[in-house]
Parts: sequence; C-alpha cells; structure tokens
Amino acid sequence: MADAHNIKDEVKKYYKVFAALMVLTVVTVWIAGFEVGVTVAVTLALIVATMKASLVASFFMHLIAEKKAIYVLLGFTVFFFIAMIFLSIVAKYDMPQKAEYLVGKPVEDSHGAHHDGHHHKDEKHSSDKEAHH
Amino acid sequence: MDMIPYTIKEHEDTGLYSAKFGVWLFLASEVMLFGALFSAYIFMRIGAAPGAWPLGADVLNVPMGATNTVILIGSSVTVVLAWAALKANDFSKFKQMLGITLLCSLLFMVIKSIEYYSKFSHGIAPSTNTYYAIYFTMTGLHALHVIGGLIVLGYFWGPGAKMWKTQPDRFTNRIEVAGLYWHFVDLVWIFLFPVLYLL
Repeated sequence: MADAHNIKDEVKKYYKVFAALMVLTVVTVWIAGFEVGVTVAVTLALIVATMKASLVASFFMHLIAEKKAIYVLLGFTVFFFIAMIFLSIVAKYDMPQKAEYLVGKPVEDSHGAHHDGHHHKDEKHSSDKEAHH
Repeated sequence: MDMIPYTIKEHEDTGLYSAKFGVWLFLASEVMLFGALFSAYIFMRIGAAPGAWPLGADVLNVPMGATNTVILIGSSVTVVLAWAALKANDFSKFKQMLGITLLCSLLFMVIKSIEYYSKFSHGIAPSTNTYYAIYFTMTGLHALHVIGGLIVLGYFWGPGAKMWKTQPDRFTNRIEVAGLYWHFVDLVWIFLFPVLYLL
C-alpha cells in the first residue's frame, strides 16, 4: 500500500483525474447535442461513459495496481455482465410475430383513432398468447 | 487486540486484507444488479413501438442531471482524498474531506428530490409508462444506494471516527473500503446520466 511520500504523488494524480472527469462530463453533454443516428449517439455516449468509468476505477478505486484476486473476480463479472446484455439484445429476435406493445398512455395511430395500446380483438389476443405457450 | 483476523494484515491467498476482497465481491454482485436493470432498459427500449420511447432530454432536466454528475464525481474525489489524508496521518484533513463528501451526497439527494417532486406533482409516476417505470426504478435504487453510503460514511465521520485513536490502520482500511463502495455508486451514475437523460 502507498506510504507517506507516495501519498503526495497519489493525491496529485487524484486531482488530475478529477480535472479529466470534469472535461469528459462537459464532453458527454456536448456530444448529446450532435445530430446523429441512434446507433452513433448510443455508441459515442457509451464510449465517453466508459472512459470516465475507467478513470474512476483505475485511479480512485486503485484498480490499476490491484492484486490478481481482484482482477480474476472482475474478469468473471465482466464476462457475465456482457453475457446478460447480449442475451437481452438477442431476446428481441425471439419475440412472437404479433407481440403487442404496451405503451401505457393513450396512443393516436396513423388514422387519428385513439386506442390504449391493447389490441381491440381481445379473443384473438388471448388465443395468440395460448398458441405461444 | 485484533479479534477478527486480516483486518489489517493481508491474507496469504489473496494478498489483500479481508474487507477489501469482501467489498469487491459485493461490488461484483452490485454490477449484476444494476446490469440487470440496464439490460431491462435495453430490452424495453428496443422493444418499444417506434416513436413511443421519449428522448431523455425532452422529459428530464439535463442541467440538474449534469449538476448531480459533477457533484457525485466531486464527492468521489473527496472520499479518496479523505483516505489519503489518513494515510498521511492528517486526521483533520480527513474530517474535512469526508465532511465535503457527505455534503455532496446530501446535495445530490436534494436535487434528486426536486426532480422527483416535479414529476409527481405533474401526476407522473412509475406506473405512467415503461419509460418512467425504468427511470424511477433505476434512479430510485441508485438513490437508495446513495442514502446507504450517506449512513455508513456519516457513521465513520461521527461516532465511528473514535477508532482512529485505538486502531488507526484498521480505521484507514474501513475508509478505503467505504470509499470503494462510494466510487461504485458514482460509477453507476456515470452510466445512468447519459443513458436516461441524454439518449
């Protein structure tokens, strides 16, 4: 662990990381205003967020000089986290063909008619659910 | 003196004092907890009818969210500076830095309350639609984590600080471990803010 004179160097690093984080926060809000497609916007936002997270994890949480036990633990964590996100995205393509979207608030469709997001033909809706089971 | 082993001395197998390994194990479980909510967000958003999902910037207060981001990052710096102060044997600096950390987290909760109140007073609740369901769930769970951190760090600032006189190394380790938890709370917000407020 860091000793007395090392600590002064560590403290200097903390201030530098803080400055970098402030800059990246400004960047986060700035790039949110870009007129780009959803995929690009999400990718950019996640890249900047990951950069900030890496700085906090590496320096504030001292991960940059941690023991192997922690790295192994985090390796497992990252693997399972990515697997979970991946499965959620893949699950979209597992949706039944006529899945209804519950929006909650009344939605006006293209013909100007109001409906509450549920399919009107309730018998067909419930029989679709049974067929899927 | 040390009834619990490895509070200061590193364990032979991990090379760490037990609380540090323990808190990282806990943080790993927290990654899965918030990760599950993030994947729920992804699932619901990509499954929403086209145009049904609102743009975060249209329904949430971006300046407030950005301010909260700055506040939380600031509190992350001060909590690590508090630990560094203990390492350098500067107890009054520790008290100062931890005090600022506590103030920052209180300020975060105040701003969050203002945001929530403005939603509730317009009749918007988690039951309003799936966007608000996930917004309130994620920020609510995160806020509960902030409150938990407030309680623990508050204890270490107040009555818990007595341990500095009797077992300074063990107390320093406690601050390090609580700080690790606090950094994680900050990390979650670093992802929550762009995902909910800007996308």
